[in-house]
Amino acid sequence: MEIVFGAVILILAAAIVLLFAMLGELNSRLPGDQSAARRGSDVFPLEDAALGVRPATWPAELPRIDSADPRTVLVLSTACATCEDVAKQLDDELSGGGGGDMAVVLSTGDRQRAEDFMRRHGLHRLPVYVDEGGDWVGEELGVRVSPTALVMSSGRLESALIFQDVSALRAAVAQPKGVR
Amino acid sequence: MTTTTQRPGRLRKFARRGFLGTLGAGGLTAASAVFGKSTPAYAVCYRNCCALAWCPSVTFEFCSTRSSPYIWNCSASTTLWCRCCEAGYMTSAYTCRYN
Repeated sequence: MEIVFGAVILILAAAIVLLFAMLGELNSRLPGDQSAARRGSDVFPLEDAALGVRPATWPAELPRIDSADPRTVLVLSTACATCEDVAKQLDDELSGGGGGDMAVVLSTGDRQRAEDFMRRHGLHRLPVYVDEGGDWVGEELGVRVSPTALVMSSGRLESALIFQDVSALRAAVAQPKGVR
Repeated sequence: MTTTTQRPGRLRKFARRGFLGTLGAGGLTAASAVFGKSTPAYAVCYRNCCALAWCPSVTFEFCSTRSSPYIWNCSASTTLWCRCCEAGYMTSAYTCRYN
């Protein structure tokens, strides 16, 4: 009788541990207080960016953008909750077989947090440069805010756009120059 | 006479302890196998558009004057901007403003 009682207690304890583990896993996947419902579709220029500048150094992790065709590099940060939502959008795109046309500069104060951020959102599938302290993107391009999209062409910063919605960003970048 | 009646009881107690001990050891082994290999988790404290390593416990001014603070800006909307600061163990802060 005591053995049966002990086994029941053990099974109940294991079930409770499993329940909390599942709750923890689910909670870790929530993108904070950001959600698709609250996501704004505004895309507007970042005035402090060093437009027209060709960076003196270019991280090897990022693809070279020497052609005139504009390419987009997203600036995200581990300290930015909105960036969690943007990273989730990228993750969803990649999981759906789309996306993959952008690179990411991930600004962080702690490389381990950057690794965790990339792992949670599957960003290893994109070219990602981990910018510790945000020094490179801040000093070379004057960008110290996220989420920002750097539109680069011929190696120069053509425009820097603040955004929250990746689809809205794509639409804005696709517009003829001067409209955005 | 007493020894013959006590021996089976002691054996049963010993067997029961052994069984429960085996159950406990098995549980510990299973728990360490499941949870022992997990990658380190990083708690995040969300405040407006900031995702801070620690929940804010100091003022932004204090955080920003620590050695090598990580200060970054984020936009929550077209009008709400925040500055997020992380400066090591238990030192995070943020400040927001409306344009």
